[in-house]
Order: sequence, then C-alpha cells, then structure tokens
Amino acid sequence: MGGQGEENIDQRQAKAPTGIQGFDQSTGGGLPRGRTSLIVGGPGSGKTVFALQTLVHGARRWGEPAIFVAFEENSRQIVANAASFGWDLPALERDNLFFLDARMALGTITAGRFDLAGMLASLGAKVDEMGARRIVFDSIDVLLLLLDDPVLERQEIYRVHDWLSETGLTGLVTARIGTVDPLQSERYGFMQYMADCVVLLTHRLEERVSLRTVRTVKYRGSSFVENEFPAVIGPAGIEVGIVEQFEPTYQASTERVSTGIKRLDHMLSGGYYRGSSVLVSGAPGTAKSTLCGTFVEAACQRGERALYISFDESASEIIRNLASVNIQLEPHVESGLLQICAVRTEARSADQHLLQLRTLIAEHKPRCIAIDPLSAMVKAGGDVAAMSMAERLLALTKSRGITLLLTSLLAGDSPEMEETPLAISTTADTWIHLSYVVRAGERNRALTIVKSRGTAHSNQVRELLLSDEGTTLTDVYAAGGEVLMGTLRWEKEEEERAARAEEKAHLRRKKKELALAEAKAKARIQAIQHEIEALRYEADRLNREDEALEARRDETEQDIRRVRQGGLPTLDVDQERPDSDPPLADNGGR
Amino acid sequence: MSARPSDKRPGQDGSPPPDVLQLRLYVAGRSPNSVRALTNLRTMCGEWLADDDWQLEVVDVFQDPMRAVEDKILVTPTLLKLTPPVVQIVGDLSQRETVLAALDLARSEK
Repeated sequence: MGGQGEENIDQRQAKAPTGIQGFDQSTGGGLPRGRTSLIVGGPGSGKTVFALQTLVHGARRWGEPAIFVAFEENSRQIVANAASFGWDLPALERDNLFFLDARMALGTITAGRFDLAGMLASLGAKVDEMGARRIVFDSIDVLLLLLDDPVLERQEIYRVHDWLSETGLTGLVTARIGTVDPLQSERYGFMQYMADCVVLLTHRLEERVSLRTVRTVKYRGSSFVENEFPAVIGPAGIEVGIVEQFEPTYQASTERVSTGIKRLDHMLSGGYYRGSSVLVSGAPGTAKSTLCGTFVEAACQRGERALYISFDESASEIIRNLASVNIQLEPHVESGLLQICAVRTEARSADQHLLQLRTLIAEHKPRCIAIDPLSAMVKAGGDVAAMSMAERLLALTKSRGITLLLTSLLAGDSPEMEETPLAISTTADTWIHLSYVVRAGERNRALTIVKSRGTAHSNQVRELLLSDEGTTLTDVYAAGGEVLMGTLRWEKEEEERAARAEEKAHLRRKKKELALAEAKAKARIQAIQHEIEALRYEADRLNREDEALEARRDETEQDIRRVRQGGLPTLDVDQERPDSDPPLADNGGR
Repeated sequence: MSARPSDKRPGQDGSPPPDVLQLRLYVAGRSPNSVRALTNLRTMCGEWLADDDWQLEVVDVFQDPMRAVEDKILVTPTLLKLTPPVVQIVGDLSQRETVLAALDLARSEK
C-alpha cells in the first residue's frame, strides 16, 4: 500500500499534467516533466489547441508560468482563437503566460546559414525573468522550412532539444506533418527520435462529420495506452475520449431500481440493478419511449434526479405523449428532479454528444438517465466511433453509479438476427427487445428480456399493454410454441377456460369411475376374504371333529380295560403308565 | 536605439552622397554563423562604401537577451537595414550577391 502510494507520487512528479480530459489518464499523468514532447498532426488537427491548453492549465491550476513561442500565427490571433474556450488568456498573460511572436517578418531575405542560438538566449532570459516551467514551440516546422537543409534542420532540432534539457522546462514542440502516412517522413523520424514523448493528432471527415483522434505514439520511460482515442474540440478545449477506468473503485450494486412497470420488475427479480446499463431495442412505435418514461417517472417518484435525453422529440411532445399512457412527467420537471433535453443530431459527432452529456451530468447530477434513442446519438461518424462511444458512455455512467437506459432502433423483430449497430448489446447489462407480433390482422407489442446479467429473469415473451391507465405486461399464452396476443390471446383465454371446465368434468367422471372400480375391487377382496374365512372355519371344524373322535376312542379303550381286569383299576393304571397314551385323560377321568 | 549619432558626414568625393546606411546586426556571441556574418558584412561594406557612408550597431543577444525579445529577433545572425526601405536579412551573409542586392549596393557594381 505504502509502496504503491510512493510510486504514484514519483509518477506524478515525473509528469506534467496537461489538464486535458482523458489524455492525462491515458498517459498516467500527462507529458514527461522537464522533457520534450512532440505534438504532431496534419493541418487543423488541434496541435496548437493541445499545446496552448497544456500551458493554460499548467499556469492556472498548477502555478507553472509558461512561454508560448508562436512561429505560425501571431499571438493576437492565438489569443482571439482561444477566447472561445473561455481560458481568459489576457488575465494569465500578465505574469504567467508570455507569447513570443516568432514569425519571420514578411520579405525576410535569407543569405546564408543561421541558427536559433540567439532566440534561445533571449528565451532563456525570459524564462528566468518569469520563472517559466513550460514552453511551447508552435510549430517548429515553419522554422525548419526556412533552413531548407536537412543537415541544418537536424542541427537546430538538436539545439532546441539541448536547450530544453538544460533549462529543465517541460517542452511541447508541435510539428505539422503531411496527412498521408505522416509517421514515415524523414523529418518526423528525426524529431521523434529527439522527443521523449510523441503525440499524434488527426482530423478527418467521415460521413460529413468531423472526427478527431489522439494517439500517444511513444513515451520514454513510461507505460501508456497506445490506442487511438477519439477526441473533440469542445467549448473548453480538447477532450480525449478514453474509456474511463473504474474497476478499482467501482462497487457493483445489488440495489434494484424499478423499471416503472410492476410486472417487468417482477420479471427482472426486482428491477434493473442500480448503476447498470439497459438497452431497449425495437422497431419504431414499439413503446421504447414509454419504457424510458416509466423508468424516469419511477426514479422521480423515489425522489431521485433523472435526465431524459431525446433525439426525436421536444420536451413538450414527450410530456404530452407519455401523459396519454398515464406517465406524468410534468410535475417532476417542475420540481426540478427531471430534466428533459431535446437534442439535435445533425452535424455533430458522437464525441460532441458525449461531451455534452458529460456536462449535463455534471450540472444536473442525475441518478438515472434515459437516452432515446442512442442510435441517433452515435449514428454520426462510423462504426468504430460508435463502438468506442458506446463503451465510453457506459463507463461514464457506471463510474458514477448512474443507471442508464438506452433505446436503439431496430427494424426487425428478432433481436438475435439484428446486429445492433452499436454493438452496445454486448456491453449493456440488460437487454430488452420490443417487437410487433402481427397475427389475425392485429399488431401487438411483445417484450422479451434477451439478457440480464446477474439476474434470474423470465425468458418468456410478454405482451406489453399501453392504456390510459398506464403500462403493464400481461401473462403469456403459449400455444404450439407461439405466443398469443391481443384478440388471439383473448380467444385463447376463452378457449382455455372452456377447456379447463371440460377437463374438470372429465376428471370428476374419471374420479367416480375410479371410486367405483375401487369399491368393486374392495368388494372382490371382501368376497375372497369371506371365502378364506369360510375355509378356515371349515378347517377348524374338521380339526375339532378329529379331536372329538380321538377322545371318544380313548374312552372306549379304557372302558374295555376296566371290564377285562375287574375290580383293581388303580394298580393297573400305575403299572401300565409308561405305555399309556392318555394319562391325563385317566386322571381327569377321576 | 540608433546607437551613437553619426560622426561621419556623407559625400566626401564627387560620388553622389547617399544617406548614411544604418545597419544593425544581431549576433549570438562568438558562434560561427555570427562571426562569419560580421566578417562578411564588414568586407562588403568596406568594398562598396566609404567608411563614412555606413554605420553598424552589433547587438549580442547573449549579452542583451531582452533586447532580442523586444525586437522580435528570431534567428541569429539577423541583419536589419534600418535606413528605409527597411530590410531584414538572416544568415551568415555568405551569399554575397543576395546581400548586395538587398542592401542596394549592387547598382554600383559594373
């Protein structure tokens, strides 16, 4: 623990934060402190903004005075351009930010070799005077063009590099390079060798939408994320869209957030997880917005702040339309809990939307957000942008514990068949698909939970019913593998009711039959029992008869002996006892 | 700014007396380019102008760095022709023809 903390401090001391949202995270703290970084890119790729922003943040947030050496534009232009970012350069300029106009005067004649020794000397004096810690050379290639000699170019690059090393300034040198395979040019090759860190900026148009990227190409002595990140030049300068790291601190919540539809909560074992992301996909009119409505309404009813971002309709349209299915958003808008934002999609890149969303989150601090539809938000600027956009959006909300509901327009009925263009379906925690089922001349809305991470959920398709009473889900009627809805469902219900009655009657009959059969069987058992008893009785009787016969024979024999011996019966009896069979009968006879 | 007032008067011979050519050379100490520039400049002026006709101020940016900042001097050596029309020449002045043309001395040649 302690060791890691120290390492972090070292790391921080070794890096000079740029204050550019996203960039510092991707490089573990910013540019190498006291070293030279090369910011390369084509025309209009934002090199000057990147460099100036780093200086402005350094001066304002970390008290590091800075010098901006402007080879390309004059300082007045730069200050004017920067005014739109709200950096208030004039306030900084007094003590903490110095612009050196280093444009070669028009009509300057070159007559032989020259070098930058003089300029560096005067800059050195300025550095000492103001205690500067950061410096920008923007852009070095304008200067090198004048040299018009590769050997001299290298010599001067060395000179600048050596000077930067000696002064210990955090240096940013911008260089404009061709857009075609920019990293292959010889000049670049040499410059990047001299620099401890190289950042490549690009700018291009895709589907008429401006797309910017930032990539750290090299970073001596530091780990960095090598990916190309989307970037925007927003109202506060450049912002780099990295996927926010939230693993270490992010605690998965087990709290459930109501969907606003009781039976849907039930299907999801209580609702969406707090802080999870939910994708609602479906064809137009399948009530995606309704699910957004119930979700934010439920949030506001719990007293939570919520944000509803719509790309389709204005706030008043949303309120009116949802009121027709008894979702009352207006009171929550009035109380300030709910903010509804209607956003135009034209001519804005996905990154600009994301930037705006970040601002909205910072301002409104919602716990629940619905974006309807997300497809509109990311459609600008190609698949790659959309994909990273979706990931970043989820990271943005997850890291803040915000529960996010997104809708996405899908034409088809089968979610598995449709490739969700955002591929957000793989990232979302819960995916609910809405579709129409048309049968018997009726369109009915069907709801399926395609997936829900960490939740036992019903796999059945349900019918979604909208009415002025509100929104609910009905039980499903599966018949022959099909889910029945609407009138068909009603018919099926009736049919099943009748069938059930018949079934009952049938059962009753069956029971009676069984009872009868049982009675018969029992009777049979009884009859057999009687037979057995009769047989036993007969057997007993025979035994008794047998005994009686024996007894009579003994008596007869004794009578005979008595008659033969005459008058001495007792003695005779004693002598004859060992052979005598029934002595008892003898005694008993007495 | 314009150094010491001229102690040399124009037009001693019959040649048409030009205004005194005022020059300022920014150098970086004794760096090779700067040393060459000073030598080249002195040679050319010596060849084409009488001593009284030109006046040179040498500013060493190592000695007076803030002066270069104020004068927005970017590279060294830089030569300024202060006499109108103002001309700025950068380099060690080894490209003789270019320098002579820029200082408007070449018309005397041939």
